[in-house]
Amino acid sequence: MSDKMINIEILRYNPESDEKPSYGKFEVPYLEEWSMLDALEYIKDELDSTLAYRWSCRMAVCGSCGMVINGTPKLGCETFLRDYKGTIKVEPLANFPIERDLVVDAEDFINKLESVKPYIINAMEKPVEEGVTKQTPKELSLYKQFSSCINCMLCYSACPQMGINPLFTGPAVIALGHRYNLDTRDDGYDERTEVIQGKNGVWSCTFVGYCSEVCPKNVDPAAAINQNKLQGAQDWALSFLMPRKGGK
Amino acid sequence: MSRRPYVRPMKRTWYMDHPFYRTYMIREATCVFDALYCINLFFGILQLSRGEDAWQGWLSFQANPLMILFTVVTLGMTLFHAVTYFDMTPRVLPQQIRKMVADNVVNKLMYAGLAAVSAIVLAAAVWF
Ligand code: SF4
Ligand code: FES
Repeated sequence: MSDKMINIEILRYNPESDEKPSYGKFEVPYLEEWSMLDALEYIKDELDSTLAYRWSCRMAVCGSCGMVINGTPKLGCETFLRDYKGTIKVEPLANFPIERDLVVDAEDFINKLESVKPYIINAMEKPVEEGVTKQTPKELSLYKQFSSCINCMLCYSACPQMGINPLFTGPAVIALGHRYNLDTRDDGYDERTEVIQGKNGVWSCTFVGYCSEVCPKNVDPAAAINQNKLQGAQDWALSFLMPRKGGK
Repeated sequence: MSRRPYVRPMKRTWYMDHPFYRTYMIREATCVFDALYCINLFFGILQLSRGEDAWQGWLSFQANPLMILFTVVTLGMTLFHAVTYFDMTPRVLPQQIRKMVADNVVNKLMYAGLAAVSAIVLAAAVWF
């Protein structure tokens, strides 16, 4: 073990014994290549086995290890201790209820994710005999960036509107809806309109833009949201000229 | 094991907690200065319609050091808003367009547009 030490303060909460969360302090010896996740593992193995946190892939693809490190929402597995000095403050993702320690309750997020119908909706179910549906690389490039989301929820933690209006559909979910709307194989635009353009859709966003800043996969959810504001305004204006969807 | 999720209240001063939020709040605050400046301009037009004396009074009010300070601050705020707004604009364009025109080209076009409009307004002010 190396002789380098770092102090880590973790916001702890045990629903069975704590009235409210409070900080627990740990002194951790670490190696050059250690990530925050390695440090949490060390704490759990050597110092306090009751520490709760989520992780799985350890390579920034599963999206389980989101946490707020020194005030910034980050993936624990790609945050390296060597980049910090003194004391590091670790908190669970903001704007989510704390289940226990660094584990947050993601149920509301999952429900929102389902509400946007994140799958290809094809109104013109093609018979198998007609073969596969083709998509050109150019058509793919339209939505590719918005399909890279790993559901880490860092963007929800970064969004102050999320804290002000917890009903807000939020960055990642709108970006995912946008991803399917931009897909040439999809016909679900109208079915997603309520979620994307409704009361808690894109218009709850004031373009703070921090969601895109913290996103580890360069999804740029702020762009997705604000492109949909333009689209919504366009739909609204067009509805006067062509009230074709009036019946719905 | 009983579940008892803890909801942290949102701080009233959340925008002080992070540099990114502070910049955002300054950006939002620029509209207050612009609104006040518009009221001032509107008042100027009103005074103009009230005759020579009223107009001269408004002009000398503009020369007040405090008013000059306010004008300079408003200009700074407006420029800050413009720069950040121009940075955001390319990302808001429909994805189809965004894939055709690079973000920095759109950004430069915005500045070109601002320059063109400013030149027209200035020219109009000089000639009429
Ligand atoms: S959009 Fe980015 S920050 Fe938000 S959940 Fe997806 S990967 Fe995470
Ligand atoms: S552990 Fe999978 S993203 Fe960090």
